[in-house]
Parts: sequence; C-alpha cells; structure tokens
Amino acid sequence: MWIFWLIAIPLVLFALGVVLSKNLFRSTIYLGATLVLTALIYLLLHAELLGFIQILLYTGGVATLLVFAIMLTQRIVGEDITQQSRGLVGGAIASLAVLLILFFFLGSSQLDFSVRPYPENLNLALGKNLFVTYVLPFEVLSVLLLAAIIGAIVMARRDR
Amino acid sequence: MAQPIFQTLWKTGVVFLGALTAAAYLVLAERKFAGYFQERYGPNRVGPFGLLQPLADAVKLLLKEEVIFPQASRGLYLAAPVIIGVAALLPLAVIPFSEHFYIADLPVAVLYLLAVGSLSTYGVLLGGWSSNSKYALLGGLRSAAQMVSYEIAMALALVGVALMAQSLSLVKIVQAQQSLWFLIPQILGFVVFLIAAFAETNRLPFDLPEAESELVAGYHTEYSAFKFAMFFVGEYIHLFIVGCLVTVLYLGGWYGPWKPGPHWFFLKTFLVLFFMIWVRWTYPRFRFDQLMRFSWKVLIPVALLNLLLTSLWMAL
Repeated sequence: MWIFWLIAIPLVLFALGVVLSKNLFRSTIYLGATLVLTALIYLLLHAELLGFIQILLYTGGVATLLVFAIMLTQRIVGEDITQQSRGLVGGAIASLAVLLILFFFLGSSQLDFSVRPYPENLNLALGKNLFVTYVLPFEVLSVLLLAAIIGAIVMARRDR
Repeated sequence: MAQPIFQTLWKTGVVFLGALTAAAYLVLAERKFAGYFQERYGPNRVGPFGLLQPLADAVKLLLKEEVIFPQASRGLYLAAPVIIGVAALLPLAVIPFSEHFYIADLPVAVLYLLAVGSLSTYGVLLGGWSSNSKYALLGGLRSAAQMVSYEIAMALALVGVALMAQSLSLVKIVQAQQSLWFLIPQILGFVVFLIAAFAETNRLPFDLPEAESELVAGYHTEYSAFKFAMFFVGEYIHLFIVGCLVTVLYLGGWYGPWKPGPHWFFLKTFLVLFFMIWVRWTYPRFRFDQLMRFSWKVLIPVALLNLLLTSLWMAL
C-alpha cells in the first residue's frame, strides 16, 4: 500500500505541474513524468503489458514529439509560448465534480471488484483477443489514425 | 520464478558493479583499439598496458569542480544526467547472462527494453534544452529526431525475433535458439537491429548529436565533472547493453558449440562490441538528411519486409 502512495502523491503533483506551469516546455516534461508514474500504477496492478506500452507509446512517443515541437518553436524560431491556464477556477470545480461523481457511483455500484486470476499466458490471451476476436475494430481504429495523420499533414502544408 | 528478495538483491549488486566495470573498461578498450587501428599505442602510461587508466579517469572526473551555469534551468539541468544514468542501467534487469543468472525473467521483457530505452531520449533532450546553449540545443534536437526514428526500426526488428521465439521473455528467446541462432533465419532483422543500435548509442557513423567538429560536444557541452561522468558512463553502459542484446536476440546467448554457459555469452558480447568499436574508427559521419532518409526509406521498409517474411514463415 505504501508503494501506491509513493507513486500516487508525486503523480498528482506532476499532474498539477502540467496544468499550472507557466513554461510550456516544463509542462510537457511534467506530462512525461505523469505518464511514467501512471504506468507504474499499472505495474502495481500486474498489468505489465499495458504499463510498458504506456511508457513506450505515450512517454517515449507522444510526449517526446511534443517536447521536440516545443523546442523547435521556442528556442530556434524564437517564438515564446507561455501557457495561459485560463479558467483555472472553472477547471478546478469541474474536476472536483467529476471526482465526487466517481466516488458516489463507485461507492454505490454493484460492480464486482474481486480479483480474478489472470489467464496462464497473458500475452497470448491479449493477442488472441486483439488480433482474432476483435480484429475488425482494431483495424478500423488504425485506419482512422492513419487518416488523422494524413489529414494533419495536408492541413499543415496547405500553402505548398 | 519468484526468487527470495536477498537473492534478487545480491544479483542486482553483482550486475550493477559488473556493468560499471564493463563500462569503464569499454572506454579503455575503445581507446586501445582506436590506437591500434591508427597504428599507435593508445593509453599505456597508467599501470601495465594502461590498465589503470579508467580508475585515473574516474578519480579525475570526481575531483573536478562542479560547475552550474547561472543561465541553466537548474532543476532540469541536474535531472538530465540522472535520467541518462538510470535509463542506461534499467535494461540490465532483464538480460539473461546465463541460463540461471538473470535478475528477472519478465514475460514482457522485449517491451520493457523498448519502453526503458525510450526514456533516455528525455535525458538528452533535457540536457540540450536546459543548458541554454545553442550547441547543446542543436545536439539535443538532432538526437531526439534520430533516436525516435531509429527506435521504430529497432522495434520492428525485435518483433521478428519475438515471432520466431513465440515469446517476449528474453530467457525463452535464448532457449528457442538452442539448435539454430536467430542470426540465420533473422538475418535481415539482425542487420536492421545492428544499424539501429549504432544510431541509438549515438556512435559513428551516426554520431550527429555530438559531432565534435560542428557542435563542440552536442547535448552535454555544458556539463562537467560528475554530471559529465554520468553522461559518459551512461553512454558506455548503453553500448555494453547493446552488445548483450545482440548476443541474446540473435547470437544464441549462453549457447555455444559445447558446454553452454556465461563464458559464451561474454565472448559473443565482446566480439559484438569489438565490431562496434571497429566500425566507429573506420567510417566517416553521415549527413543529417542522409541519416533521416536512410531510417525512413531504407531501414523501416526492410524491417517491415522482414516482419512479413517471418510471419509468412511462421504461418506455414
């Protein structure tokens, strides 16, 4: 249990840093740290595959690209981007409300929270589910992502 | 598989000290071989054959003055070498040195390696950004672009190995190579992995992040003393790990012509590292656009082809 708190407290602090930091670069670095700590929580829940994929894709991929883009614009182009963080009060109220709703519903729900044993070979079970049972939604998702990437490139290079 | 905690602890200690020693002597080996390749002696003043040179270097680095520039972003500036050091050491946790000697046999070890490997990019980026110096910044940017691009090729090559072994555990991957090393059926993947490894370790011919002639020293230009030592040691531990990984993934790990054991592992690792040093002192540096084009238009398509062929082979 103490390990959970050891991860959870810095996790919340870094998450606050993401939204409250004035400096966009620092904000993204805190985002990277937040994502790593979330992955550690997954590891605590014995979801190794999910945890490492989280680090690989979000920390190593998405957040790195964000940092890269910010470094290019800020230090090389010389454009200074500061985070405005407008509507802090409204945001705080909204997140508190979500927290209360979650507490309320999880407290009164009839969900089964007992730990079920994992399948013998977790990777195999996950793979079977993803690539055999749910292969169509999986492929549709990847086509959607591809369309989003192409769309972004077209929009960014409209002038050429 | 669950071993008592003290066993994990002493193994961790042995591996940690072993890796640090390996890194220190890898520096010496690199300087020695570089000397021989260029028909000179290399370091030979401190101890017999220069064997005490790494100790002298370590003492020198630790006794130097700690300089933190006033224009550096202090927190991030100090975090960068720590991230580099930690990210370099983490992969050691899953490397099987022999059939029984490994810290952990993770069922998702291959993913773990990729995930941990992607963290070191942060150290480089932070170091480059927080130094507030143009050389460091350019080095950091180049490195991030390079590491992200080559990570994809590396991951695709690893998928081929995982497919053949039908497992993501490194111990199982080595066991699957008992009769035939993956070097032969995965020759395409092996070449892709090795080339990507040169880029991941920022070594010639892909050492653009530090390119001395253009960027002074790249992302660690503004670092000195112990903080520089962290970058330096991190780099060589990374190199040592790449040698171990090539051995584990493609060269059959601890298996040899007779009597399997860690000696085969270390012999093969040494040969891989010797090859990497050899290449470093033989080839000139790529240009940056060539580097990126090579990754996206050659390496990744070849890795995909390898993946396709492996899948077909395994399906038959």
